[in-house]
Amino acid sequence: MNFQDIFLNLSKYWASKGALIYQPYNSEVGAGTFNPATFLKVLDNGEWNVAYLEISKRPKDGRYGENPNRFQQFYQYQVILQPAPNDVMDLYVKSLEHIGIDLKKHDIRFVEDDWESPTLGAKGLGWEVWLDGMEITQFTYFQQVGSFQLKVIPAEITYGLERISMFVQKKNSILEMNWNDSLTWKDIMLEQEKEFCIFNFKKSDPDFIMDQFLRSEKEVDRLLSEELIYPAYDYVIKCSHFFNLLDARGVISQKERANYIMRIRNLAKKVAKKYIERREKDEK
Amino acid sequence: MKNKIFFEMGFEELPVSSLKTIQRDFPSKLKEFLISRNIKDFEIKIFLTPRRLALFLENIPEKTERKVKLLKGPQEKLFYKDGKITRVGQGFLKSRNIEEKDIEIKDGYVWYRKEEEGVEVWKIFSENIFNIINFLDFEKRMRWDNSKITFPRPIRWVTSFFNNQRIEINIGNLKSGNYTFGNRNTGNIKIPIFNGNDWFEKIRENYVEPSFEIRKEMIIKGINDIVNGTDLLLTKDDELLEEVAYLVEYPVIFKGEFEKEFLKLPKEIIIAALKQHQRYFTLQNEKGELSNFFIFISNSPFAQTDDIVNNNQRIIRSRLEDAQFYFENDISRSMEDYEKRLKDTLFCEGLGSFYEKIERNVKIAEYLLDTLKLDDLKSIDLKTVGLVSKFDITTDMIKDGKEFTKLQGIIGYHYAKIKGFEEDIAKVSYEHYFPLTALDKNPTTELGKVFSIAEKVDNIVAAFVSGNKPTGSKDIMYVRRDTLSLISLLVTDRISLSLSDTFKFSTSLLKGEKFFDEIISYIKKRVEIFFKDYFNIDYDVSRSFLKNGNVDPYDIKKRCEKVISLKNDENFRIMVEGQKRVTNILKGIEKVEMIDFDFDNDYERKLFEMGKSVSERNKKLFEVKDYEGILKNLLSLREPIDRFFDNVLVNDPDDKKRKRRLALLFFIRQIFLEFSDLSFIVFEQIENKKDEA
Repeated sequence: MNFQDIFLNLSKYWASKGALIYQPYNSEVGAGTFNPATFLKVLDNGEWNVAYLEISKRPKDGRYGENPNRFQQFYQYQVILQPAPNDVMDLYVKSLEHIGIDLKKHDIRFVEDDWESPTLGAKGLGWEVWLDGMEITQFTYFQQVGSFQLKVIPAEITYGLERISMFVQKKNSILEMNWNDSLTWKDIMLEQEKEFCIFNFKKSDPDFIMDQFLRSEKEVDRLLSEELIYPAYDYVIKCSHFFNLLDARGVISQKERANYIMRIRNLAKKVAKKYIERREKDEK
Repeated sequence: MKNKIFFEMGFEELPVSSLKTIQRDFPSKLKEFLISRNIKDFEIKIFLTPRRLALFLENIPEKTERKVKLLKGPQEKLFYKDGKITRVGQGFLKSRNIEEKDIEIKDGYVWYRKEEEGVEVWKIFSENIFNIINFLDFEKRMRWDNSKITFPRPIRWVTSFFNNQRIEINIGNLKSGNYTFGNRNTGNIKIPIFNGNDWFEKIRENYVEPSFEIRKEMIIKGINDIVNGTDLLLTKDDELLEEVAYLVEYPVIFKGEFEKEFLKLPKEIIIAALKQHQRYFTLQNEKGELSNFFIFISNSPFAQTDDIVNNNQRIIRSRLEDAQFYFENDISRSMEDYEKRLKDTLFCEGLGSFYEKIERNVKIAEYLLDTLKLDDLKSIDLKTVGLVSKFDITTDMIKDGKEFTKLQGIIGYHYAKIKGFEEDIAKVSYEHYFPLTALDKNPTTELGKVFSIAEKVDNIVAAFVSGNKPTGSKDIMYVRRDTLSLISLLVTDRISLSLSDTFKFSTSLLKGEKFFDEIISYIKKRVEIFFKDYFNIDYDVSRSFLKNGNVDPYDIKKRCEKVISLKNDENFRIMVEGQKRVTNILKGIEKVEMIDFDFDNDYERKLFEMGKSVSERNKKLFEVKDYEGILKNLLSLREPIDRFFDNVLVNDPDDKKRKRRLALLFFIRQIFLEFSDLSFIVFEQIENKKDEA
């Protein structure tokens, strides 16, 4: 099964289960959780079932395309089911059958792993899902998002698409993975991957990025004071990405690291707070 | 009497730590509960897999026994007035449906007997079973639906029978049914259950082995089948075996291999990659060297061997490739680079970087070389040792390497060797963390010991100075562990060191002088507890040394042991009683100077002469730490003290006499205090024993 068939089939499957099919966010994010379709929507504490592809950027993880498993950009398939249905695990396991995995021939395991995003103030309990020893999905029952406890608990399912695709296609390297019948990942992505690695590690302009970070940080407060929650959240996302770029460039010392993360978490918390307050006002 | 309850609770894969909690605590809590309900002679059998807890409660009665209970009513003075039952009293009798003859008066209250009917055991069970389980001390809990229930993972089914009768049990939104589920890897089939007797057969047919012990045996047998007849040997690892047996419902055993070239990596790295994250078993060849073959356990009875082996091999290859990437980057960096990184890495908020922490460790180490007279080590450049001991925390392997981060210390050792440092210096990298807990392995080299003491002393001071001192519930800087390890090292390695002086020095390095008293009193408390827990030295004995004395744990332990050996000696007891009298008389008196030596009786004179002689002789004995001799000398003071008290009135109306006598007692007390404040010693019920004799 081709890479594109995998995310198309997942969309079809989750649409058939009643999920809204959304799209990746139009700003650099580190994970599907950053997409407002997850971060803000779950704060509604209502019913919200959504599935989307997300382009996940992790500048520090790049290896110039030389390591078969490590890249600075990869694809996630994100599913949020709020409230989590009782049979959510079965729904997930069945989804694998739709992307070419014959479960009886393999070993699927749910291995304890409590996921946490320190920048988003989000955490939950759950598992890494292992397929023949390989981690292919993060499965989490969110307990807290934006530093607020959730009243209605969602299940977050995050598929690692390249890994699943490697598995299904029996490839040893993501580079060799078939995107469609004629093109491989390498054909489409390698040049871009290499350039971004050079940019992330060596050629980005730390002063420029730091300036953007600081100005974006201020922008969050300004926009929130104007009651513009979505634009404010956009700048939280940008802060997070700028931080990741600075981190990859090696200009953030270990000493300062925790402090930056805390600053972003506080921004995310302010946005979440405003969002919750607006919802509460709407209800009245 | 031959009744039986079957109960199964199914959950989404529970963490191993939660399963261990259930295994450890659930049977005893259940037993406690049943006994509290007057149910006896029952049998409990527990079966635990990652997805289910099953219980067979056998040999139980249908109902609990009828019971007569004595219950408390109103106060007597409210019940009777002038010998007559009051209105309150009448109302009480009526409400309880009893008459005056049924009551009795005791301790100012009205009491009455009530016969309680027996209750159906299944009812008690259904109402309480989940609370008993949920009351266990789980590390982490979660919510998963709109009920208020929390548990380590979502609970998805409950099935329970009393003999053939289904029992209704509600857990949050979940209602009990009459079904169970098979192995997830064979389709997670829903299976009807008729009474629990059919449960074993049905789940075993569906590839679930409920017995933890049998799963362990299956794993051992599977591994033996693979290695027998080859030159490979399993690296025995009971902890891993137990964990894996908790991770699967139906273990199937496979062998995999990775490329031999990875064997060039330090073997701890390979073991971490295999074991820590993937839970693979490692194998050795005949020479005891790590093999490039390994064992893994799957939960999948139908898995295709080729596929599953290839896939697992690919994973381990990518993990080892990661390790190799970190390894190569790390060793290409110079020690100067690492020095820079250490300056850049925060040790503790407000206390600067790890580089500064190392500088303090080195200063304490220098102090220790002087104090402990370790002249042989003085030629070693301690600054370099300090750097080598900690540089690995800034390596990529430890910073970014996920499963490899636990190798802190070991990585430093290997890298230091590669960089050409001597064995003894490289070793400090992991040995300065030893002992990890009380009575654990000590460092093997003098250098390791010195840096181990320095590390812990500075950590403890840092915690107090930075406002992170340990409290009953919080100890984020692991002060308790460090203190215990420090005391353990000194005592078991027979290092006589004054912690009072060492902490005085160490606090000065962090400008933490004002925390000194607090730190020392904390240390004293831990010494007391350590002595009690590990050497059964009673608090009164250790306290007699610690209260005012110098904190030198090894030396104090030796002294304690001498005192304990005398504790049943009658002479010793009388001497201590004498000490207590001396202490009481001197209570509130800071210091009394001897005005002259014009004693007016032989009792004073004798006591003074003896005291002087003991003091002089002891001075020499202290130098060689002959505590037995010292105690013998002190015991010789028993008689003159007794005589003194029997014949001399200390609080004489003559002021001069009084002062002289007090000064004499003060002098005597000081002689004792050189050894310990024996007035703390408690003799348990020795009077009673005498009476019996």
